[in-house]
Amino acid sequence: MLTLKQVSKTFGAGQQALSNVSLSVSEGRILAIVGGSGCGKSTLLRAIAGLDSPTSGEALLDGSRIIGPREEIGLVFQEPRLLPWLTVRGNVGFGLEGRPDAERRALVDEALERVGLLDKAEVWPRQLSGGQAQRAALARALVVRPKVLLLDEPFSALDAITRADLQDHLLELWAAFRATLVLVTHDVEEAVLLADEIVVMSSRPGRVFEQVAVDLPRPRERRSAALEAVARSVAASLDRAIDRNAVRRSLPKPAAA
Amino acid sequence: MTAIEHPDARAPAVGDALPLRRRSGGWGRPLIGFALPVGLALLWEAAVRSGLANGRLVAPPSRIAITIVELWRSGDLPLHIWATVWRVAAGFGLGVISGTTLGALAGASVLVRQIVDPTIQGLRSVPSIAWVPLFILWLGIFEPSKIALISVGVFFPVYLGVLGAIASVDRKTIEVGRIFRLGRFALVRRILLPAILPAYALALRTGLGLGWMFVVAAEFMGASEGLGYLLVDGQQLGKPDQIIAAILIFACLGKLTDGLLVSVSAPLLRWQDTVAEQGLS
Repeated sequence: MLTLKQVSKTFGAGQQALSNVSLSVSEGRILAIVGGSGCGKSTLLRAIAGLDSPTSGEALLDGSRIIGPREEIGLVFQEPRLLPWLTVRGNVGFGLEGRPDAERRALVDEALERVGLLDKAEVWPRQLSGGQAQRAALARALVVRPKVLLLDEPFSALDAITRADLQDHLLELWAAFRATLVLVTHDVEEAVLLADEIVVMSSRPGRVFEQVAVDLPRPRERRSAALEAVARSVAASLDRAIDRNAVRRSLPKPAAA
Repeated sequence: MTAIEHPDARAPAVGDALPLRRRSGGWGRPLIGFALPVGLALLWEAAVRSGLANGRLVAPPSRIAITIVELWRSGDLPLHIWATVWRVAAGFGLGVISGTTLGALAGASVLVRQIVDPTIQGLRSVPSIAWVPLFILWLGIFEPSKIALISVGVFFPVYLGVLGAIASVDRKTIEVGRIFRLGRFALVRRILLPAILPAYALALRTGLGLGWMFVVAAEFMGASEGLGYLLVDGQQLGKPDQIIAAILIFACLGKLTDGLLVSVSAPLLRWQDTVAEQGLS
């Protein structure tokens, strides 16, 4: 169980990024966090990853406070962030240093096989396409068998077809590894397709605006009526969270004809 | 990164990533570099032979070759080359050690950088020759002052290269290390060192180039042997052939040692995909 208790984060200049965010995800579930830009969703993820510590409040994994990066919490960034001087194999096995060579090799092979990159094991990252690179990054995070995998808009830099591909892939991996996933995204459709639970965040400072349970059976079908209906309600909630109407109200009235 | 595949991405299969560079270049590439100097030399030879030019101030290649052979036979040339190479090597070594150490310290610690960098930047703008009188007073006119001057020349590009390389390591790359819980030492070994290696290799090459430049200045300040001595001697005794011969040997040695650095660092930099390697096409 991953729990956030009253997490707030204020940056140096007194700019509050997160305000009293509390939420929890049970083991093996997928939580999606959606929100507009500046709602602190990346900050939230970094707090769970142990990269930044919250100003107040705490993040807990199975009751123990997260104070730094942990082996059981993996993170996939928006960009693949593969190390260019290591081959794909070297990158995927990066977190396995210290294990015996044979074990390391077997684990990397298995992870590469799962993301469909076994034939690219010995090439350099620069020789991969964007989608392949992000799959390698997924493999690198999963090869150490984390309990929790955090994904920070992992597919947002990809084209629509590759993105759909990777979403399916992620679900397959999730089914195989049974990790808890926390996915930050600004794509409502993606959130509904993947998640069991969606947290809608409002901006400046980021706080939990609404929490929506997605009770659709898996596998889910893209653009099915049921999925679209949930997506519409999440999108409406997001509109309220960002308060688009306030923006609209502040626009100058068109002159009467 | 785009979704468009690099043209090379499909071709190499498992274990095939290594020979990319060789395959694209072949053996014809290095040879093409000889076309220009050899062509010019042949043209000049022909011009002098046919009487179009008298070749008194710029000797034709054949005469320079004879000069080099004679100098070599007399046993002088190996002596001069050895003296110069030894000075460059010693100065380069000292400059690299000091430049790397200070650059790394300044790169690793903001405090150290704030303390030493302004001074070093100030000293950098001192023309190199300005050090000569001081070094002679401090260290005498023999080897130590020459090596000191050369190492000053090598120091600055190496220092700047290391400092700049450390400063430009992407915070995002460091974060990958943090996510995998690397300690301070592991972070340096597994992330920082490989990340700065390309810039460091380049800094060493720049440093070596300056080392060759400064060795001439050093040998002008009064040497009884060395290629710089051959230059001064050739000027004072009116032997342009000898001057050109020495210049040619400088060019060859410079290129040779640079090539040595490149080939030593190449296996560590195989992962790079540079414009220089592939051309802009």
